[in-house]
Order: sequence, then C-alpha cells, then structure tokens
Amino acid sequence: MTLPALDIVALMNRYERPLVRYAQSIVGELDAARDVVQETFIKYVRVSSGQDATPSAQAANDSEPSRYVESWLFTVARNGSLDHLRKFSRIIPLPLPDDRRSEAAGPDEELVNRESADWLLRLLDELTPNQREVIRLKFQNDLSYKEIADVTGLSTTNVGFLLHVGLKKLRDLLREAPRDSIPVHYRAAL
Amino acid sequence: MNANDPMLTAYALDELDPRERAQIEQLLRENPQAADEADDVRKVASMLNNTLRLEPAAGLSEEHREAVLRAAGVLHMKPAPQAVIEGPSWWRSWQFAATAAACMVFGFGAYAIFDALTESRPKYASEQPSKPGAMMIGVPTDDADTRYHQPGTDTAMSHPREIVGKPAQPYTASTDQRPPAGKLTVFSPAIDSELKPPPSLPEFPVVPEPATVVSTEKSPQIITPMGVKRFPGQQPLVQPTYGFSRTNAAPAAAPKSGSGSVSIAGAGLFQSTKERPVSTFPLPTSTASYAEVTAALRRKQLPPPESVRVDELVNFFTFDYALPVSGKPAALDLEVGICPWDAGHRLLRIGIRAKAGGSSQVMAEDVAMSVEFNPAAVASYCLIGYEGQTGAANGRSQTKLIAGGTATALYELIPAVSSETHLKSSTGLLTVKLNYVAPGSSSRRTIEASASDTSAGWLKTSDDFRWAASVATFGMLLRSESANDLANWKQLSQLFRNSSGGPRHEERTRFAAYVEKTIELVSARAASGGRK
Repeated sequence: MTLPALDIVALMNRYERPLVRYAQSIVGELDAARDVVQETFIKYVRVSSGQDATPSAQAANDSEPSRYVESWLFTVARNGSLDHLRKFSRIIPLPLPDDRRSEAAGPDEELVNRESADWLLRLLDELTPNQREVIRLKFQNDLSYKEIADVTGLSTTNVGFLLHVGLKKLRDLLREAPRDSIPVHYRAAL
Repeated sequence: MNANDPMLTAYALDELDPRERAQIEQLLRENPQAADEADDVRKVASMLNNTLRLEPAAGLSEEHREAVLRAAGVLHMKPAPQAVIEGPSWWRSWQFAATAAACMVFGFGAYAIFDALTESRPKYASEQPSKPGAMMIGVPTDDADTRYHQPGTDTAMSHPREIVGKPAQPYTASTDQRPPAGKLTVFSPAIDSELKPPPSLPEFPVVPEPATVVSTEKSPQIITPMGVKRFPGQQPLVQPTYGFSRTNAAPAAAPKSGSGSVSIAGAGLFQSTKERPVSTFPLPTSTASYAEVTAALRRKQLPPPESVRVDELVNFFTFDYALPVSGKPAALDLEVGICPWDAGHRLLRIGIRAKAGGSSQVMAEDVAMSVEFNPAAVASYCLIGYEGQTGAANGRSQTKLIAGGTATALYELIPAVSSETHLKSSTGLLTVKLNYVAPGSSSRRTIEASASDTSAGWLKTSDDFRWAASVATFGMLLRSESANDLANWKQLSQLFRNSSGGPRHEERTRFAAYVEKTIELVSARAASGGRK
C-alpha cells in the first residue's frame, strides 16, 4: 500500500499536537520534539508525492488510508525521536508539570484537570518506559493494538501483554494510594 | 479464564475479533470475578483516556510549519525582486484612514455590489480566475435593529446616523441592467472616535525568501446586479436575480435550474428557497488557506485573492459550541444574526460539535449536512465560501466527524418580504439536519435543530457568531474588488472587536493582529497609488 497524499495542512492541523506530545514524551525537549515532527511531515510530503520510497520498515496496514497515515506518522516520529536520542545521548530532561499547559479549559477547570493529570502522570512514571509508551499510544492517541505494533515494531501479542501488565500495575498503585491523596475528580471512579 | 489473562484486558479494551469476544463473554458469564476485573480495566482505561487526552500538547511553531509547507510546495514563492511595501507607522496609517474616510459618503446601512454577469463570466473566467466583485461592509455598531424595515415601520431612522449617498438600485431580474460602476462607500462616524492604534503588535518576521509579487494587473471591472439590499426606510426588498455567482465560481459549478440541490454546487450563488428549499453543504476538510494568507502577511504581502478561501479561514478557528447531549455523537448550534456586509440580509451560523471522546475516534460516519429553509421567512440563501469547489470532484469530501471536532458553515439569507410577521410569530426560519451512520451500525440517524431569528443586533450575538462572521468578512473583502478600500477595512477592524472569545482563544488574538497587518498593507498600497 502506498502512502496516500492527503492535504498537508489538514494533516498538520490534525496531528501536530499529538505527534509533538508523543515525540516530547521520548526526547524530552519541546524544541527537539518539534524538529522531529517537522521532519516527519516533510518526510510524509516526500513519500506521499513519490519523491522518496516508503520506508521498508513500515508494515502495510489494510485499514482505511487515514488510519494508515496516522500510524505511519507515529512510526516516523518515533524513529526520529529515537534517532535524536541516539545522536544526542544525554540525560533526558522530563517536562516539568509547569511546562504543561491545558488545551481548552477555563481557569478553574484547568486547575482541577492539571492537578488530576499531574497526579496520574506521576503514577505512570512508576511504570516501565515501554509500558508507558503503549499506554500513551493506546489511551492518548487511540491507536489499536495492531497500530501500536506497527509503530513500535513489537508483536500484537507483545503490545497486549505490555498493556495488560501496565494497567494492572497502575490499578495496584491506585489501590495502594492513600485515599486523601487521590484527586476528588478520580475518587468516584474508583 | 483468570484475571491475569491479557485476553481479558484486550476484551475490556474492545480489541478482540467477534469470535474471540463471544468466547470471552461466555467465560465471563461463568466467572463473575473475571467480569468485575474487566469492569475495573474499563474504569482505569476511561480514566487514562480522559486524562491523557487533556494532557497539554504544544503544536509546531510557525517556523516549523512553514518549513513543512515549503517542502510541500504549499507556500508558493515565486522568485521575484524583493517588493516589500514599507507601510507608514500605525498611527499615521490610521490618520490616513480617518482623512480618507472623512471625504467619503456617510452612511449606515451596508452596500454591496457583487460580481460578474453570468454571460460575462466565461469571457473573463480564463483571464482572471478569482475576479472579485466590489464589496462594502457596514459595521453594526450597536443593537439598533436595521433589518426588515418596511416603509412606515422604520425605527432606525431615529438613529443619529443617517444615510446620505446613493440608495441601492432596485434591480429586476433583467440581467442587462447594470448598477452604476462607481463604488459607494459606507462609513459610520459613530465609530471613528473608537479608532485607536492597536496597543501592541506581535513581531512579523520577514521571511528571508524571495517575496511573492501580488498580481498587479488591474482586472476588468465587472459588476452585476447581484447586490440586492435594503436600507432602513427604503422600499421593500426587491427579489434578487438568482444564479449569479458573487465569486466567479467556475461556470460548471453553477446549478442547473430544476436539478436537485446537490452538495456545494450552489456555493457563492443565491438560491431561491421556492425553487430549492433544501441546501446541502460539506464538512470542512482543509484550513490550508489560513496558512497561505498568514504566510503572505508575514512576508508583508497582501495575500493573492485566489489564495483566500473563506470557509477554510473560518474553520481554522475553534468555537465553543454546545456539547452534544448524552447518547448523541454531535450537536448542532445554530444562530442567526446581522450580516456584516449587508444590513438587509441575515447571516446563519451553523456550528457542529462532535462529542468529546478519544482523540481520533470517529463519532459519526457518512455524514450528510442539509438545511431546509422556510420559504415564508427566507427568500433566498447563499452558502459562504467553497467557491468553485465541488466536494467529490477534488477528492476532499469529508464525511466523518472526529471526536471533539467543531465545524462551521455560514449562509447569507435574504429575508422574504413578508417575513416580518412570520418572524414576529417566531416561525422557524430553517431546520438543519445532520444525517449520519453511527460507527459499527448500519442504520442512518438524524440530528435536527431549528433556528428562528431573534433579530438580535450585532452585540447581542455570541462571540462565536461575531468571530465567524468577522473572519468571513475579512476573507470576502480580500477576494473582492473593494479590497483596496480603506474605509471597508476600517469597518472590518471594528467587527473584530468584542469577539475574541477570551483567553481560551489565543489564536483569535493572533489573527486580530494579522487583520491589523492587512489594514497596514492596504493603507500602504493606497498611499502608493493603489494596485499597480
């Protein structure tokens, strides 16, 4: 399957944020993540217009074109991020909570969201990097097991196992957390 | 089946094929503990989904985006000598605007003359693909009701502003009756005192690339009797001539009389509700025009008219439309208010908001949007934007609603002459239908909403309405022959006030600066002798 040529602006509008967020979760720095995503889109332009060949590592995906493009973008962004890490191998600064800005919420709502989100993200930090990554791909970006397998190069079974173990660990952490440390927001859900 | 089986997690996350799912469901019936376990997985999944989706995400910087657009050839940079227009300072340009405006005719109502005669179009279409018509903007500065004035029932005449200048020519359906070629300019003195230089402008870096030279040839003037308009106290509305394009849509896009209303064939054309009470419109697929327009402005160039696509500009922005009620994938948010470029017309804003869900989840498939007008209240309508496009023809038709998305469509409405009584009895103006197939289902469903006209003045409309209307006016003005007319731009600048939507809409603040930049460039061009 070749890469369909979609409107690049629409594609950027749709995916720049998810991709930058994902790349940043790997490389740490916003600027580096943006560079990676810029190169991802440029690569998309070249490949979809036939200037470059489709990367051989890309597994063919018979789902609809836009989903295919989505996992293609995540794959390339991931590879770019890992390349970046290899090139600039150094301690990865984790994004500080203060760098995180809520997308669309009023000030009060934003505060509650941010507190809850920070709390949950701290729990996620207890998981292994690959558990965290599949959780992000699954729940932040709505990728299916198959798509996550395409992006990460893992087998579908492996993805299912990582998610299963990651979620189980997370539930244990939630159960162990002192009740008054859990944001009110979440208490009802548990 | 035990609680430690990854299959159980896959089941809870809906990742199994139907056969596996049936197997697991059978096992769960025998094992309530495992069923509880699956529920727990779903709870954590939903918590993660709701939280991670909201995790702040920075996008690309403008520089990064531009690098991609250049690679894609979307930023068309023609090699040409640097032709940067050095505009006067902000304050000077406003002074200039005020002086120029003082020489102009004072008026309050809006006046619009649009576009080419149908017969003329093929002749010019090849020469000037985006030949714009003249356009004048009236700024509705307050809540004075300027609509639907019947002789003898006029209330706006008591308003301190009065209309001097030429009244609109009442046109008949005769196509060879042309309006005077000269332009009428609208200027409202009441807003003059509000004109101040903007407090601070963001930096517009000059892109170190060869600049695009905006087409400089003066286009042949083609004006048609499309401007059907009414001023307070004037004669009742004359029925417009239908089928003229105000934007030079390709002749092929002109609808054939009697054919069913299809897709966006009617974009840019007024359609009679008696002939076609139902209009359909596409979901937006691109916002490319926004990038093109703002990139041109950053290079200190006025964007070429053909790069300005109104629907794409409007849909670049996000709006705070009402969320769907539970169980529905989307909600319709309708509003009818004053039309900024023609005070005798009304503007319908159709907002669509898909339910929040997973970030790329499809909420509805095979979506078809339609509007059914009440001919007793609306004489004719015109879909704003989509000029010369046919959804299917360019392969860009979008029929899915993605979670969390918003979409906006605008229609210009000409009220029926007899509409006043109907409006007062609050008869519905129109009904909008969103017909869709829920993912995984085979039956079609419909979400419906009706709108009536509350005759709200400009400032009584919502921020979202004012913003969408202002952006549309900006785009239409750039495409129009009146793009050089400072007074219009000055009016436009007023429109953009009071519709910023608050701190959640930074992109609006940014765009307002682009509007000011546009005005600066228009001023500079006017000072240097117009388009040449």
